[in-house]
Amino acid sequence: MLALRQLWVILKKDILLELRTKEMIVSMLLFVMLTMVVFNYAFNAEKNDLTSFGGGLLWLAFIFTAFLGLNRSFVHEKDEGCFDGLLLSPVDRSIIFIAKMLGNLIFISVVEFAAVPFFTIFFIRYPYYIYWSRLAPFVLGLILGNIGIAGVGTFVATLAINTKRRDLLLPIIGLPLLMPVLAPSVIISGAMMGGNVAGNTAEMVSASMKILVAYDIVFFAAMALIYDAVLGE
Amino acid sequence: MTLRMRFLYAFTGLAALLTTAGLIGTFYKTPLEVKEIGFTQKIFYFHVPMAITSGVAFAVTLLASIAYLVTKDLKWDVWARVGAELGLVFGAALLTMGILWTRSTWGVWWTWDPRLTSYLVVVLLYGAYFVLRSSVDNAGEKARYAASIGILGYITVIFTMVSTRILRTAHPVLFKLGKSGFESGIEHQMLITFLSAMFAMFALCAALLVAKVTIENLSEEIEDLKDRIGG
Amino acid sequence: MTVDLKAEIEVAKLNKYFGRRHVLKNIEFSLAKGGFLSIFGPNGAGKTTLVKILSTLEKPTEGTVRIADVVLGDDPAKARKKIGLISHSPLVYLDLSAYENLEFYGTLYGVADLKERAEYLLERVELSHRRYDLARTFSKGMMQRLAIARALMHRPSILFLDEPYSGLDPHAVDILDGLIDSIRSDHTFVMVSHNLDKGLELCDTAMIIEDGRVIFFQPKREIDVDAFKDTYRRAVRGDL
Repeated sequence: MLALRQLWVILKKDILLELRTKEMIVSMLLFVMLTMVVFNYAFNAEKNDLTSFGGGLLWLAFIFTAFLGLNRSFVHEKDEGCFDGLLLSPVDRSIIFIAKMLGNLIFISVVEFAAVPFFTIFFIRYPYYIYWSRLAPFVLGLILGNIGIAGVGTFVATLAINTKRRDLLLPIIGLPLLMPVLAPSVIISGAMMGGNVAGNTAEMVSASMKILVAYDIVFFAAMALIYDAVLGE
Repeated sequence: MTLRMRFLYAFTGLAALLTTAGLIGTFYKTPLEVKEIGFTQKIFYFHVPMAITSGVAFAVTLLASIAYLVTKDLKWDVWARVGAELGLVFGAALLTMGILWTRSTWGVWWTWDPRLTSYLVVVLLYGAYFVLRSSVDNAGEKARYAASIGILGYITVIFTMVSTRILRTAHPVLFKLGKSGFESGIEHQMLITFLSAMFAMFALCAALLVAKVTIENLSEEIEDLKDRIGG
Repeated sequence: MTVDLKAEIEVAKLNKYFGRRHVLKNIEFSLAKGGFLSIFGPNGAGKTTLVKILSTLEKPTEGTVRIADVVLGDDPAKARKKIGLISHSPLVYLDLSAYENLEFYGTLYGVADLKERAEYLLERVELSHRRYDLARTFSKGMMQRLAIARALMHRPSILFLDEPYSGLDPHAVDILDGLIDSIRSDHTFVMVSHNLDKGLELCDTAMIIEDGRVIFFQPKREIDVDAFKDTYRRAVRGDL
């Protein structure tokens, strides 16, 4: 089916370009590591035990790193003026959107999974306070949270790119819209790392999962409904 | 007098009347709630209606946004924008009242009480709505993009409110912030005062909405006329 | 202007506003299949906007554009399959190789014989020896040649050329000329150019746009070249 092939070729191109230039992933990795260093200074990590804030700090680092990546969603098309090339072709605008979103999801997830081990060593004082039994929900929570961030983030990035204040607009609009993802994600992540210290019970984790799933479903449904009218032809 | 002007006078008058009734009720007619909170509980009579009203104003934005996306008629965009403005105004008033209440009750200016937090996020979100609007020049694009945030934003508002409630019930509560310090067996006078204030706020909001939309539309017309004359 | 029912391109009552700026004013014209229209005019006259609307990159504020039996608003995808655009930006990805660029665009357009078509075009634009090199390493001339190949991948029946010769070295100019020549019959062309001689030589119909209006539109055989050049110069100077 042509639409699927188009989707795949756009996604493949973005991944290929990223592998060749390594712009986004390297920058995002550096950024997330630097954020963690800032945490050290901000919270005096030498003296204070930050374990109970594990989930929170993790997502603090993640959300800002994600925005860094989202800003670059259309970087190749922007920098090289290739947007017209995509728009000229008979590909449906929504396919472009989905491809960009999947690309963002992949990049953000790669950076996050790479950052987790470092984070654990830096702040959770591995090997203590890691509850391996909660690994599965942790991973699931990360993915569900990322889906929300990639989905809503790419949507706002697509809006922002057509406006005057592009770079600034993305976090200003995106962060409030993504707030409902934060609390549940922090709880789920916190459950695995240093969780019992903060009191994240199994009920809270499952409630949080449900909220994340609900968020993803509702927002994707809403975006699908309004996509054509807002960003379509 | 046109229907619109009659509406405006009627609703403004109604709002004034009901607000007065509400104020009298609040200070003179309702009993002093002797729970932990005391006199400051009375803020509830106006505070909650304001919250509901700003929710209604943002709902106007939601509906107008949907209407715009369906009809592409720019008049809906005016309603959406005015709804958001009023929602922000009531929301800001709400936050101020919340801060004052927190200060007088707990001594601190702010706590991350779920409701207060949710409202802060809401105010910031709709502030971003206006930043977005100012970043787009083309009227059609502006309306479309704003509409998408008007819709997604309201969904976020609902999510934030619901999810903080869910997460709080699962989590042991540190101290109960019962702003609505009344039980289900609500007393007659309290109910009347509350309802007065609520309808007062609704009437005020409705009047302001219509007034502002009319002003905006007239401004547009003036601009068009100026263009045509070449001024 | 009579409406030609067999017209490949038909523009009626086209108006374009950017905010309050009236950029294209009541444009009307038609071009028969196989025709070659050259559009001239001073900077800011609206030529590029017109080409963008015709190639579906922009939408008209008012009016209709029909291209090859498709009204542009109705089925943009169908129209896009038949349209190719060569503009002064090459629209290629710098970090993809020449071949990968063509493969990318070919897949977007659903080109069936992808590999063969790409190889063939790379030969025609004389870039075969650099097919696996990243576009980043190309000179301006080579990039424009790649752009030509990109535009032709999906065998468009209508080609829009927005100042395609700008910045081309003589060799690339020859290649472009050769390509246009070889597909001249049964392809329709619309070219925007500042090069009066080149534009007139290639076209069979000429148009001058000034301040968003068509101030001149005639088949070449009816044109008195000197009078035309004079009108053009006066338009560019702003005397009209």
